[in-house]
Amino acid sequence: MAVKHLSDEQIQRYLEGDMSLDSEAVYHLQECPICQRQLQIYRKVYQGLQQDADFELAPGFAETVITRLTTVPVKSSRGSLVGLILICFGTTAAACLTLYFLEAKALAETLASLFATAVEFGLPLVESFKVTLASLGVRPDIVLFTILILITFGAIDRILFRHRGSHLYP
Amino acid sequence: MESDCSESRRLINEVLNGNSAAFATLIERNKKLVSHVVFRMIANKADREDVCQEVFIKVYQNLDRFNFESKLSTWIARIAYNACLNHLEKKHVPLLDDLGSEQDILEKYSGDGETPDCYMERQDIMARVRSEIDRMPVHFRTVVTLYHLDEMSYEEIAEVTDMPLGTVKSYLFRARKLLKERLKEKYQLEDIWR
Repeated sequence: MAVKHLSDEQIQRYLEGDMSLDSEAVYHLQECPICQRQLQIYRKVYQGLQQDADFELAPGFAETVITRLTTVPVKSSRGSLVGLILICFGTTAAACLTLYFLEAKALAETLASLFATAVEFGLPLVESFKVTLASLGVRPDIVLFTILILITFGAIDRILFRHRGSHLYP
Repeated sequence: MESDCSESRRLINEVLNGNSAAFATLIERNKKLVSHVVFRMIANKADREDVCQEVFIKVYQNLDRFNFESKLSTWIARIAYNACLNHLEKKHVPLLDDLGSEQDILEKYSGDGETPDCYMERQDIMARVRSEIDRMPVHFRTVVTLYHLDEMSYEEIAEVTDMPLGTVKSYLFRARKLLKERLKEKYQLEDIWR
């Protein structure tokens, strides 16, 4: 009958202190010179792996980092009002656009007229911008649509980025 | 674990309130872990210190985003790991080859109950193992370092490296087997059979 030596996995489990290794295998390991040799090599491997390889940082490392930090801007506290506003605006814009493309024209027209009114009375700068665009032959609604899309994507990206930063790599 | 967590919270709050001494404490507590990851992954000695500094600057800049879902050390190790990956990607850094000279090894001999011959031989075997570690793929090196040197659990390593748990276990097993095979091939069995 062929002798069944321990596998690499079993020897590693033995060195890891895995108690689930059956007693027959442990007995074989203790008695078999071939398996003993494998075990000895693995022991050396484990010793080498556990040895700190003199990875020393320069003295005063912490002070150097702190000195460098004086030139790095401190980030603001949790949450950002601007980010929140952008997210709200982007979400609203995305909802409006969805409704528009779903042919909920009445609602879209109301929103458009409200927006136009706001532009007309509140933002003369926008009006002049519209005139400029018109003189250039560019449709203002297309420009508005593009801006809204960009804001929406920006907001989505910000949400994803913040999520990633909170848990993963900043 | 709970006291560790509350201690981390206290430390982080102090750092966020602008206490630089608290940040120095945070660096002191975690610099060994960061150096293990960075020194094992980055071959160029000149770059290592800079990358370690960058890691702690990133830690500082993003500390307000740490949400205590993991241990602070795990989060910092993850930043270090990703900073190294970015560095390697940017610079196409070659594999490590940072073994100290025989003279360096002798200088570290402390002589506590061990003969110089035995000490040299043990150091030689350790140096051979380290040399083989440095020849392994970067993910293998990282996983074995975090497990054996920093005593992280499989779960923590999976979190640091963003690898599935099974991959971490597989890498560990394969890395150790690879080291064993290389040592076996390279040297006479008698040399390491002691």
